[in-house]
Amino acid sequence: MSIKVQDSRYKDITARAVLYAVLVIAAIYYLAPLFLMIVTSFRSMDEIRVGQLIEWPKSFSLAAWSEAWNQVQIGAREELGLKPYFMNSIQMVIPSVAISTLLGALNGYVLSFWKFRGSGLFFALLLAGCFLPFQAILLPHSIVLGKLQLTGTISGLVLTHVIYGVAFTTLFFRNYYINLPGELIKAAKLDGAGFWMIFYRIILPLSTPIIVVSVIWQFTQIWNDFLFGVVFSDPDSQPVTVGLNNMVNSTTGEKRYNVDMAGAIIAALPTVFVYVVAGKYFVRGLTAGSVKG
Amino acid sequence: MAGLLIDNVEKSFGQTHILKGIDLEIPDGEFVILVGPSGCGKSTLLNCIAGLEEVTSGRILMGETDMTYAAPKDRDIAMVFQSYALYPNMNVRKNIAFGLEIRKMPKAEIAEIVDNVAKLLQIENLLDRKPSQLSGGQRQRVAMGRSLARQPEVFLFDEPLSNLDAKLRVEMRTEIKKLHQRLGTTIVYVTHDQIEAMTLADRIAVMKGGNVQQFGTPQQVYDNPANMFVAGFMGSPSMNFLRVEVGQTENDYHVLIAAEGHTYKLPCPPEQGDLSSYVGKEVILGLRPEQLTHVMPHVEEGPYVVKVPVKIEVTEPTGADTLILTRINDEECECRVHPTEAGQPGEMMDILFNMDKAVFFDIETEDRI
Repeated sequence: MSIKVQDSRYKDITARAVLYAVLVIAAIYYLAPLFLMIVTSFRSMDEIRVGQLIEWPKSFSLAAWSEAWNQVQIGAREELGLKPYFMNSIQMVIPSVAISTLLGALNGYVLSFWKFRGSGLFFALLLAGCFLPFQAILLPHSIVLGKLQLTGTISGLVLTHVIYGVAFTTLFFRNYYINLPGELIKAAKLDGAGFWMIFYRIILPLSTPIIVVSVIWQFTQIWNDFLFGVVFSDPDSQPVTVGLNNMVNSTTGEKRYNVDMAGAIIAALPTVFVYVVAGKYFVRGLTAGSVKG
Repeated sequence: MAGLLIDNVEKSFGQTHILKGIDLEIPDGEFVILVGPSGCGKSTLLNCIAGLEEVTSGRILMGETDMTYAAPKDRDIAMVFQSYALYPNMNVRKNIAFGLEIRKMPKAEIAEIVDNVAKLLQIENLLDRKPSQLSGGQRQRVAMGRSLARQPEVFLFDEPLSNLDAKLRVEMRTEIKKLHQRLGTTIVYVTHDQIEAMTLADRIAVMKGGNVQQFGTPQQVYDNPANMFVAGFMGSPSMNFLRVEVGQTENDYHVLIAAEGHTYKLPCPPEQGDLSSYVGKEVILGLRPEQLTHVMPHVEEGPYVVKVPVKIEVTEPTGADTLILTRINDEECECRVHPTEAGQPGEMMDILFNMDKAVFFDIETEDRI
């Protein structure tokens, strides 16, 4: 009698090999531009000029980086380089992220645990803010900024980002809080805690994952924003995205690829940094609402 | 400490009426259980007492004080929740101390109370753990500790044991009873488990559809149910309900049952209800399974006991007793017999119908006759 063999090992190995091949190709496809940028930023213009764009560097120099940071002439500014723009961005992004996250947490807390008549409608309207095309509000908002005498200031940009970020942060926090047991609030009320005490002592300490999500999301959005930055700022309050654009587009003569690449990386570094530091919480926080532990 | 007076309390959410006029008077130190099926309003009533829901009308008095519209924190009430609702970000010590800290009690005093409570509930070794590191039973203890620490006038328990496994539930049940005996604080306790209600309560309020159906001691509720709902809800296995015709012989009344083609007259004790206006009509006879037993000589001699041979359909051994399912008047009927006396399915068996505690209900109103 012959024995039938059922062996799925070879099939499994083949499937796995194909899967990894696809993943590796996809990874290369996505990483190649970044690699190219980094490599180019370390090459000298002479080398780029005679060689090809995609080539292993023969020399290594940080000249392009310091050029982009504080030597290149951007527009008609007295201060050179991306540095002042970068500082503007930092001054803009920190308060914007902090305020919009805190307001989102507070909104989410109210909408989850202190429902009032019409709070459902209120939440729905707030959500509409997530889908608002920002081009549509440029003119009315510039009038608002004008009335508040914040036109062309960093404070004006902060206000803008807070207003249009709160819709998203509220959504994040509300969806996170709605999964916390309501009995927690009841217990705290009976323990004698009030609105702020419960928020500060019970709810906020439980919010770490969603705070991280909100911070990453808001940081990335606000740091990378170009539209508001270009419309609502004056030359001395422009964020780094606008600065980068001006640097790349306003030079005359030869295109200095290495300086452009270094500038682009400088402008992108903070978001990369935030992802690296808080990335693992990001994934955890995004899934926290859906898969309840 | 204080008693509770719930005076005609109503609660509606929009057009949905959850509580339809609840009246309960709970003396100081009494252990009262609210029991009823899901959606009967028992948890809502508890939330109203706690002040977590505002009543639509009526009054709630604690001692001599009208607390109807007082804030939860001013009511001096502590509550244990079904989910325990421990603060996940704080360790056990902080959980217990939280309410005291908010009330601005001095640190040394708080530490002393926490230690006492921990000793009382035997959770001293858990004080530095987070709730996520505790088992269900331990969380339960901590939740009780948190409410004990405040030394409130009234304790509220909202189905505190329903998340525990069967064995632990029985253990904690005993502990809660001991705790009440030691502290003597008024307790209002919500459960849907009628065994919990019977074992724990000084008095039980059986609720259904936003009304209190009956409010009495466990024995009253068990032996003298006010209506068919209470009779059917309390007791496990539940009471047998049989449609029977009432007959009269001189001054005595009886009801007729049929088993295996024969008809039997079951005499009705006069103290169990006046059947004079029901002669010739049908009523519902309520008999608990333990009133239908195997033949025991000392019982058989009783004046209201009748021996009826029945056919066994199903047997369910529970260990201590065996439950026998049979058919009387074409309705299912459960009897509780000694395991060694029980026959096999399909066999005939003599069952004693003990009418001493039989109850009768009107078919239309389902109220007690």
